[in-house]
Amino acid sequence: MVRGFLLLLCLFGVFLSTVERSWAADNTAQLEELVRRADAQLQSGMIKEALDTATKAVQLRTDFGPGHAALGRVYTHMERYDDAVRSFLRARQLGVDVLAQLGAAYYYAGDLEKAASVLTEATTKSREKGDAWYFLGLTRLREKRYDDARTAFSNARKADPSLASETLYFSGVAAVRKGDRDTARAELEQAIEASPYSDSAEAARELLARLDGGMQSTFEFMAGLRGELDSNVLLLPSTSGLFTEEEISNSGGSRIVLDLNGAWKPSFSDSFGALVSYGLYQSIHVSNRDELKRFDLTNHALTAGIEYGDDANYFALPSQFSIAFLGPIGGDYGLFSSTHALNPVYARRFGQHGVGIGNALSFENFDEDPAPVDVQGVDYAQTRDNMTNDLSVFYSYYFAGDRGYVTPSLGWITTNADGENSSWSYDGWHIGTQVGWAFHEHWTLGGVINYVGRSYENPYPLPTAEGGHRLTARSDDEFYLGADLAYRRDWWGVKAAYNWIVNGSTVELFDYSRSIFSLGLETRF
Amino acid sequence: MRTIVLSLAFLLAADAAWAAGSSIGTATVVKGGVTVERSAQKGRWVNVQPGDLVFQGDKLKTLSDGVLKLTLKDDSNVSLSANSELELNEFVYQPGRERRSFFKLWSGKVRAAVSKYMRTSSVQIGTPTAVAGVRGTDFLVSTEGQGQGDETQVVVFEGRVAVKSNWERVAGEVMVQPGEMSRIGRNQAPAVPVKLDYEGMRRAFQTTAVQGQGTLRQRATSQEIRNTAGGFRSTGSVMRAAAATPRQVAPPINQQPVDATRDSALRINIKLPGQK
Repeated sequence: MVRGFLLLLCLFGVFLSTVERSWAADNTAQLEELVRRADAQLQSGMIKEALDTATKAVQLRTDFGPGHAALGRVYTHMERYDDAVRSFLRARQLGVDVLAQLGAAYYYAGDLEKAASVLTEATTKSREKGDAWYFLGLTRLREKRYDDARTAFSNARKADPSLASETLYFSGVAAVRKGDRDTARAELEQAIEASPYSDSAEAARELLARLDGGMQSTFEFMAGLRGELDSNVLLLPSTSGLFTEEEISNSGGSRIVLDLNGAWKPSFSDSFGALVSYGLYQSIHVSNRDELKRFDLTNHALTAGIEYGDDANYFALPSQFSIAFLGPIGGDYGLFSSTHALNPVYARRFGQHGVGIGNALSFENFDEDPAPVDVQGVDYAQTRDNMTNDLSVFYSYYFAGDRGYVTPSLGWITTNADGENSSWSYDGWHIGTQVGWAFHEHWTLGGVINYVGRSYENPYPLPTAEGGHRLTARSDDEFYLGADLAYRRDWWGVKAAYNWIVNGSTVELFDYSRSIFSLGLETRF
Repeated sequence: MRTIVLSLAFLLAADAAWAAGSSIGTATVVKGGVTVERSAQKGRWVNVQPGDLVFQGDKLKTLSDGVLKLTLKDDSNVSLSANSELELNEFVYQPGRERRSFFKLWSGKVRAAVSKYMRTSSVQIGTPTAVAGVRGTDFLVSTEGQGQGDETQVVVFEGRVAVKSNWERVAGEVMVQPGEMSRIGRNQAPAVPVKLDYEGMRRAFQTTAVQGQGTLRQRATSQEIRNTAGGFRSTGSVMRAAAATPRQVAPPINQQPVDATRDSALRINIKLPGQK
């Protein structure tokens, strides 16, 4: 009786286990379908649906490794690399071989050290993993370990012959950077032969042409249109003291700005080239001041220069000539300024660190025609020649796989103005930091914080208006804070910016702050 | 009981094997309007969703805004352009041993990137006027004309493709090499292949393969090609950006900037007209 009962109990247990196993099998099929669907949704550009589907798979069964791996792939495409890494690590715990994908996530996140470690582990476990070798090659290329990169690309090619064109191209790039041009030529030619119409073949053709000494040229065109709100469209506390404090307050307004820039960039070799560009800046300002409701500013700038760059050195010598006109729309006077500027810069890189020095030297000729005002019957139109020199040294730290940098700088600046009704000079220094970070495939963030201290000499020889201020000496402390966020696709983008300037001065008239909001569209070809 | 359990397990396994074995591939990229007519449900066209399985006998149609990419069991990719119709007549695949397929393109364009390195392989794409037999790996077949498929064009990107009329009585077969195109009209022998110019080939290569978001590897490739293709422009670009230090952010002279957000060192001294 007891034996019979036990036998029945065992059979019932077996039955339950079978039912559970078959349910699990059904469930697995459903989960596998969800994974397949999530991957296809991802490839079809349905990112949100892919995320929902992959999430559903891991919610249905938290220990379903392929579900976590699919979720990791979705997160990687969404550039949520921390989440991607977590998902891949969980998938790995559950026995799914995701080392190559995990390494790819680290690579995308710019963590080259972890990427190399994981990918090396993946290739050690199996030499047949083309993707792991390939990502290891790209990682080594970024690390400038060119021999290791070439070895990894070669192994990727052996493991997966369909990677021939890409791996040969990048192997050729590594050879070029190492200085082995003959090997590079051979590999680039093979890259073209392997898949003649692919992007890698196209890039190989361009690189070959540069290696062969042919001059390559690129043309770039940029156009931008933006609107700006400015808490002080015109800050006009003239040192002549012609305006009262009351007059210079309440000068907020807005403007529309059009920026056009076309550049021709001939390259004489892989490292050396030139730049010729023309830029037009046109803005129409609308001020809330009764005296000058609308005025416009036009600036034409022609730049020509040379540029040299390799893995460790960067040198540029741009020279710019610009002319500018400013005046009220329909008004009877204008201001004219022409400027010559020479801005050499040299930077040297040491891994993730860099140092550099730059100098900005400019000569400006300034004219008022005719004089905007007469003062006590005398034409006090200003004409002058300015010379400004600004010497800076800077340090850079590069992060996120070179997609970001932080550059603190320190500089000294002097200006001398010599002219009719306008002779003065000042000395100053500045310290600041600039940040740029492409934190997403389409998003970039920029920021500037800067301080400039100036001590002026030689006040203007103009008379003082009634209620105005006559300057005898002046020193200013100016703080500048700027931030911008840009979203860019292939040929267009949107950019929003905020700039805040506050100036503290020993002359009360020059104590001010200014906020500028800017939002605009831009296009590039 | 043991027999019952084993039978149940066998049935489940058989069912799973049938379900897995009967599909020949997956719709890996679906954009816009794409429909399918299953062989068991003739006349009923249903929308294709990303991740749907496709089966032998399916007829697939893309609308004017639709494109479709299939990834087949042998890892080959078949891309269907807009306004196209393709029938998956036959697909046999035994890994490492045999691959045999025949698909009929009733209208439009199909791009086939056939996976390499199979010992025995017969991949054919038929149209109302021609049959293209693949010896190679990546090619494009399009059919057009006033009547349905009056003319077929075969363009080869990689490998070789043998083209002949689909009417047995018309003799002649041409071998189309990479970078070449052959045309074939109804009941005519195929034309001698002509070489296409590079730009035309590249354009066809770029536009006829349905691109998804790309695998992790494909995305990295595009990104790194962009980074490396510019030579010194790219190697120096990061340093160039960082070297643009914020000196002279605000013009320093006696008056304040007209526009402090502008990069150039434009400095203008302005007075208002008629101001006293």
